[in-house]
Amino acid sequence: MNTEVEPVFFDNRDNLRLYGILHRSQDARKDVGIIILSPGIKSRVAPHRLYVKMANRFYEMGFCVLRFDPHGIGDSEGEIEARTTADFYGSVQVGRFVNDTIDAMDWMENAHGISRFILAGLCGGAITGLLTGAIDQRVHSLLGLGIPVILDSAKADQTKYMTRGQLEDLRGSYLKKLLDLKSWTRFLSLKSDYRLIYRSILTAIKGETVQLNTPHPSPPVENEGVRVESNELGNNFNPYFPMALHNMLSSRRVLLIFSEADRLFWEFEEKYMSSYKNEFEKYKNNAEIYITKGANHIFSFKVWQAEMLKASCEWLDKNYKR
Amino acid sequence: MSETPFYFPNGSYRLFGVLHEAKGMLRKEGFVFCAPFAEEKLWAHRVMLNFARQLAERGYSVLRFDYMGNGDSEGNFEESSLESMLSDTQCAIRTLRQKAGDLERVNLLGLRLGATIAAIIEEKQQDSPKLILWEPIMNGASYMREMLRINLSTQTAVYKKILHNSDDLVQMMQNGKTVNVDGYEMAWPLYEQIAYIDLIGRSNDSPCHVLIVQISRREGSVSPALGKLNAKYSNSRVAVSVEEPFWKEIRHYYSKANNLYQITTDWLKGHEH
Repeated sequence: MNTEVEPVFFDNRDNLRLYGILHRSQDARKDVGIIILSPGIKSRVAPHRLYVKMANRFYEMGFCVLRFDPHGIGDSEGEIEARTTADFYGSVQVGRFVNDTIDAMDWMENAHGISRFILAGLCGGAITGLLTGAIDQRVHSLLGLGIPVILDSAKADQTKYMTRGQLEDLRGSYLKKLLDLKSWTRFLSLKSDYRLIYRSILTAIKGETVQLNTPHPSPPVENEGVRVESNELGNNFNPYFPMALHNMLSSRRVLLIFSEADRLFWEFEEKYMSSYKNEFEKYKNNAEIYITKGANHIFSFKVWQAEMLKASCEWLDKNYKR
Repeated sequence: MSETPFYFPNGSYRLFGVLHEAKGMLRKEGFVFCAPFAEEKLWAHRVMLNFARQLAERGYSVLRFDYMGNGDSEGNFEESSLESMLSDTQCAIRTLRQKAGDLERVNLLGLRLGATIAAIIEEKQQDSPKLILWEPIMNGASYMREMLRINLSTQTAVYKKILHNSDDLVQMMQNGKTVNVDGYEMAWPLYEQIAYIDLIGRSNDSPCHVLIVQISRREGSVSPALGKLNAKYSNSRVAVSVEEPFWKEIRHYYSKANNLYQITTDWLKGHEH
């Protein structure tokens, strides 16, 4: 690191001061910047300083990189009201930090003249980036590590953190599909997540968002870097996930990096891919999936970190050549 | 209250810190917070931050900082050692004096290994600081064995068996390799120096005021080890605070440790002029 790495702060829309670290050289590119989003409790630093390592690599490639603490996390102002870590993670998975991310992009645009962004993050940071990308076109691409497709808590209030307009943007692609004959065929042959579509229809009719009555999963337990949860595969699929992913992929690029030994990868395969493979295939030009062999959720070992960073940098190099 | 993040130099690298300052009446005493080790620091971050804010509201200037190779500070973790952590803490004390101006005394508050570091640093301070030790690590060798067990658990999870036992891991470090603990690469100087710590065995005739807090899930009596540590100081108090072990992953979301804060604040009130 050198003196081009400096602490920064800005206020979010609720007048809470958010703190971060900006990695930026004098000749950093201004056409696109990278924002690395907090994975959850472990702030802008992330487990074993993973985000510091990522930021340094991306900075060396000429990008301006911001990693910041959303409200109630790290050094930032505000408090998290959750009673359990599962409830907290559940709230992140339905957009708790989306508005802070939009505010961070506003700040980067005003302070540094950057108006296109690559959002990156591990776990909670990845889902925050995806949800933000689905409703803000300044998000040019997503680099998601170990993105969760489930809700860690049934108590997650799916209407609390995003505005009605933002939720409508998220649902938009689904409602359009209802007019598509192929989608109806898929629906009737039970290949679609008809529970989700049913609720989307209901929402459109009632003009409000319906709370999902999902069973409460057991809280996740950190077991030496591998997040373990009860093996129930109940209805805890995040209804926002396919909507947001397809929305992003319809016009923008996404790199999803998973760790082979991470339950989040298995859940992606079982809960998303098994139901949406055909839809995902339609967007394959914009989507890339990379599996880090043998790695755990937090990429503990140096060899896994190196492999993940290599895949990330190659993808950035390919898509953002200067 | 103001909170200012900044970098400050310690030799060839920069350390990251946040200065918490009250607006209005400022006390002539400040606090440097000594963070716990590696990932424990990240889990405990909000508990430490919120207590720094409480102290700042009481008029104290507080500096929280990251050791070299930790958090937002420069350097690589594998280059860190107990020696570098002690040097960083002394640098933080000097920096707080420079930033906060007219301080008569810089007190130390530490959690876990941070408490141990605070206790060692206090022996070298001339201004008889107040010393607040939250659940100090008493025996470095036991603590380092705990860290090696984390590596063994990761091996078991990844390889379904243990390829290198604790003795092998120590040998690897002695041969110049690093050992991965929760993603942190630990080198021999760090391991050796921490393993050498025996807080009770250190001679101490310090006149400073000390609060030692044992953090337990349930009400109970003070452990014999903390009792012995307490007996080493001439002006000390030991207390038990019922809290979850917030320096590791637990079921409850923990951003404040109100029992711990209360015990500490009550003790401080008794020593404020």
